[in-house]
Amino acid sequence: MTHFETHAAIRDGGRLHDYVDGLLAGSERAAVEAHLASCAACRDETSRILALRARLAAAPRDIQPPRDLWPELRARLAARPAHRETDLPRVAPGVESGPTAGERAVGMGRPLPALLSATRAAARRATRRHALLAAAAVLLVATSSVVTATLFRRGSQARVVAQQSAVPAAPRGGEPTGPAAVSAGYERAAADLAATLEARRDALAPETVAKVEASLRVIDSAIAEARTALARDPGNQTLVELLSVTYRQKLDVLHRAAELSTGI
Amino acid sequence: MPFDPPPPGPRAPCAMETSDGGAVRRAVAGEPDAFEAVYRAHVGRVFALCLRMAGDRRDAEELTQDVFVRAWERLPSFRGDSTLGTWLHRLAVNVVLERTRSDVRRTRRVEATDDVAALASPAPRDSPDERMDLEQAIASLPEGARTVFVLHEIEGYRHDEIARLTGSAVGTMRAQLHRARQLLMEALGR
Repeated sequence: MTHFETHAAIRDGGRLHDYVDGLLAGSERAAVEAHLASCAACRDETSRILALRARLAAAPRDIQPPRDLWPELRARLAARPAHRETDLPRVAPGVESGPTAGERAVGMGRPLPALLSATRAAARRATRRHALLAAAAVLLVATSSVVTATLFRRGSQARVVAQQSAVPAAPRGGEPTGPAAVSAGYERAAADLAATLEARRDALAPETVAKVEASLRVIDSAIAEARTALARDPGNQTLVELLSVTYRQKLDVLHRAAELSTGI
Repeated sequence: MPFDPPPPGPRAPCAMETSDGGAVRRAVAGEPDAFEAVYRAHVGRVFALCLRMAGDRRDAEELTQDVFVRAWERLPSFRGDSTLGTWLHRLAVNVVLERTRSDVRRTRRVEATDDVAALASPAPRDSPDERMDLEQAIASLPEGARTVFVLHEIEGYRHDEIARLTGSAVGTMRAQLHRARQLLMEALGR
């Protein structure tokens, strides 16, 4: 299958969405990742899907109605027949034994099926965030490649490997790193590189500068979204990792651009 | 690139799951004041769901009331196998989907996306303009795509669950989700 046939099959079949959703495995996933490594358009599309999902992660879970609905609701309830559906409620007044509703709300004394049900959504979200992170990590590598091979059209493979290894490592499982620590460290490094790049801006072709700036805007937007999500869920280590990966992507672009401007 | 999913951890209780147990018990017993406490604890979550799925503020207000009327009627059958928040959430989804199927209010649907956007509370450090754009863009999605999108992307339902709830094939549901994302990316990228 040619590149274009593969591209069409992946796009028409919604495989990039499935990939971001973590629905692909084995050879299907490998095929998409192989295509991403060589297709800038699909990398861009995947970045856009990831950015959208990061933005949604920051969406408020609660939205208060613009007016108090209770008086109207109470009137509706009062107007209804006295009949209420009855069953054999386990939550009943005066029940002394067993967990209270409040205890059940936090999982205390609840039967295993109920606990599994309550944590299922959390597991799904964690898996989805993980898929997001996986896709972001692939894009990081892919962006490294495209910056080197397509954008700058320079550099040896050896240098690519060396540069990738020079980028700060993302936090790993078991080594929780707070969002503030992640941001502070990377922001300092990014600021240094940006200053270097700005000082040598004239050494770069205008179209290269435009591409670098466009890339940085996309990455900064993703960083902002990740930070917003973290502000709402500061203890979410997966989001911290996603933030870290995105910062690494930014550093990588800055590093390569700065290096290019020095003619290395 | 191999990635092993992290083990699912317990989710921090959200507003939907932290109702006062005493209030729940008294509401089950039929005390309106206790039911008001339940309403106050959960209305934000229910209204957000209704607003996003309906895409219209007035419909969302009416749907929110419908959800709590249904909750009042069915609260005695709440068995405590799930949290009250989870129970209410399922109830809300069912009420909204029933309304969608009934087709009654579609004819009086008005262009109220500005209302939708104005209601969304901005997250910390989030630009109000960005928040408005996102909520506005969600509200402007075609109904079917919006339903699937909200259930999947915001409410965390799986593909097969949404297909079952909406009575559509998984493949159709996936196509709706992808379409919704494309439309949103185009709308937000303008």
